[in-house]
Amino acid sequence: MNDAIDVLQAIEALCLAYTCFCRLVKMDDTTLPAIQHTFALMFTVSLAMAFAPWVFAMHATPMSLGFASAVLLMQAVTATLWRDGLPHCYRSDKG
Amino acid sequence: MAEPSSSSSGLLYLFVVLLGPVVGPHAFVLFGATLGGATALAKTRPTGRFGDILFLARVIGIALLFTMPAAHFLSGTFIGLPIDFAMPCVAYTIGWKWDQLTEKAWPWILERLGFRKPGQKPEEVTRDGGHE
Repeated sequence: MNDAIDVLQAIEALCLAYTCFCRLVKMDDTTLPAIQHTFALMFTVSLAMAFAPWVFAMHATPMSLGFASAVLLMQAVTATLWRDGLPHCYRSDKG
Repeated sequence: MAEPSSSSSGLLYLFVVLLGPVVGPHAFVLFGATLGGATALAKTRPTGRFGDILFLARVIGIALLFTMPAAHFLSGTFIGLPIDFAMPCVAYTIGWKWDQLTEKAWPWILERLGFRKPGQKPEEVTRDGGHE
């Protein structure tokens, strides 16, 4: 049971890292720095979360699994805003 | 024949035993390098997906390569920071700023070696090495 939760969390975390990566590549130097750093942090933490059970022996819990699911759902819902590139409100030169 | 115990039969246990001691001490360095590389990735212009993955891998690799000497220099001779604290910070800084540093350093080196005239502007190069 515990192994299944770990694997499920790893899959969710890798999906989350992939969504962050897809957004990071759409950014450039006109993006607000806070947005750049936030997505970079989320990408890194997601990768760490994916491998944490096997590398650090930090196992998944139902709460961590639920939290990862919620963030992944939020990423999926907001994906439409990123379809045409970086959202306008995230540009530092929006004027 | 000894009966296999429940802990030794799990693949998960095997991974933790094998990867833990190897990756564990350097996990924060890898974390810092990845964070720096991802931040650098956000600052550069978009290219193909494969080029972006290569960019990230290159920056993380370079950060991992240069972290140890730079951290030893900082902790041993220059500032006197504890090495455990210096290494992740150095990895993050190298990952974040490596491209900007090389952007400034390479023209200077090429000028000194005589491959480029002084003051000549370098061609703009994208993440995957292609020219704009």
